[in-house]
Amino acid sequence: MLQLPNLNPLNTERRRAIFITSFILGVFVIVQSRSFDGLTQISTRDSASNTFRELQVLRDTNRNLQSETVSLQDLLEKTKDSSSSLKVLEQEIKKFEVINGNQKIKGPGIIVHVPDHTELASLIDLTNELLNTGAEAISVNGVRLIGNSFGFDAIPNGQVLMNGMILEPPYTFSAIGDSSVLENSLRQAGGIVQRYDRKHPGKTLKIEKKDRIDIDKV
Amino acid sequence: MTMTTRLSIIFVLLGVTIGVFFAAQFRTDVPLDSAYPADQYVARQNLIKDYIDEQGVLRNQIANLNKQIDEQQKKNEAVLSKTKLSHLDDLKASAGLTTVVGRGIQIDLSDSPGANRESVGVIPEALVQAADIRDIVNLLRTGHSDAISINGQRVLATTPITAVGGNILVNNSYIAPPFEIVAAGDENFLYQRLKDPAILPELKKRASNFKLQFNLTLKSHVNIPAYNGDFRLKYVTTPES
Repeated sequence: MLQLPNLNPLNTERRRAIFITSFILGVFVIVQSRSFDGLTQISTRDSASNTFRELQVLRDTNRNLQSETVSLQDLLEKTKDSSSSLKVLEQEIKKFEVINGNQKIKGPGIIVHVPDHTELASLIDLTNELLNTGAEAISVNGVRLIGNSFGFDAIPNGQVLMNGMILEPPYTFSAIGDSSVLENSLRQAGGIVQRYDRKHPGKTLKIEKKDRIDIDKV
Repeated sequence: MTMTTRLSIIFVLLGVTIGVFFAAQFRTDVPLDSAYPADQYVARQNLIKDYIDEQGVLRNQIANLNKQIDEQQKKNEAVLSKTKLSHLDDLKASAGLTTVVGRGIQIDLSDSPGANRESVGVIPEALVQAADIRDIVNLLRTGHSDAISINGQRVLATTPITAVGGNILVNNSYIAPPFEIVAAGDENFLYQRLKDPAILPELKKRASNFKLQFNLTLKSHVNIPAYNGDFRLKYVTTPES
């Protein structure tokens, strides 16, 4: 005998309620999963940042550019004056020798010790983070990063090649700049130290503040 | 157990589950910018635009002043040592203060079609990240490029390439997609390196899965502009100074 579905109005109401509730639950599952997609940005290779940081970077950049224009205007005036032009030329030569790595340099800063078996991406990101937080000069295992020839290259056996030289781990990054600013920026929440620790369980970047760091000429 | 009791239990469980999801949803604090009301967002955009406009003016001023200093030094050749002037020219060229022309390669990178950087729900994998550009620049350096630029910004050894608030900064200057990375150097060598399937695997995977645009072009002529920013030397000194 054919059994007819239960058409009791009370049961139909209950089924409808369960359907609607399940639907709502599904919507929440999707919304929540999308929120976690957003969270993956934190675990990517850049610091989590906010609007205030964005504006601060722009403001500081413009201040530095403003200061550079003032300094270049002064240089132009001194160059026009024949009595000071030779001295200015020599100062310029020295300045660009320092910038290009033709002179031995020193200054306050930090040393970052990077553990063995750290992959290339972390070395690239650490270099970038140091530059972004105001490092004026950087060396890795004593070799100054200069020009366009210092890229990090992976070679077999997990070794890293830089500017034709094999870097022996552990890697030591020396950065000249404001040591407190450098250290605090690396250690800030969501900064490279935290991201490194998360990516390399059991390992960490060790940072030492130094009153004087020496970097050899290239 | 009666049907009513069973249904009640099901509803209680469903209610609890929804409650848990609600709680998790409201505890999700990223992205922070999503909480901004529209007027604050507009104010922020205007402020950023002002900074960028000012930055453009200052960078032009720096480029002009560098040019004027070079011209003035050439005029002073009679009183200045030609050897020293030539040495300074070489140093400035090494520091990135001159335009570099020659053969090279162009890499075009862009977000997935339809991906909006301002959108809260955008999938990060569908966007070109600062780390992608850093990896490419690193590769170009290992390929001994003579000079590199990104959307017209000269890349130096001290150039940071960072993500700030969903945007990418090169030399702390805003760049927006599409990204055009140009390198002067041995274009065939650079091309082969970038084409190597073992190189940039993550980026290439995203280019395939998320339709991120990643194209390489060999160039018989590239023009890499001179650096037009500041040189920071506040803490660096020489041992004798």
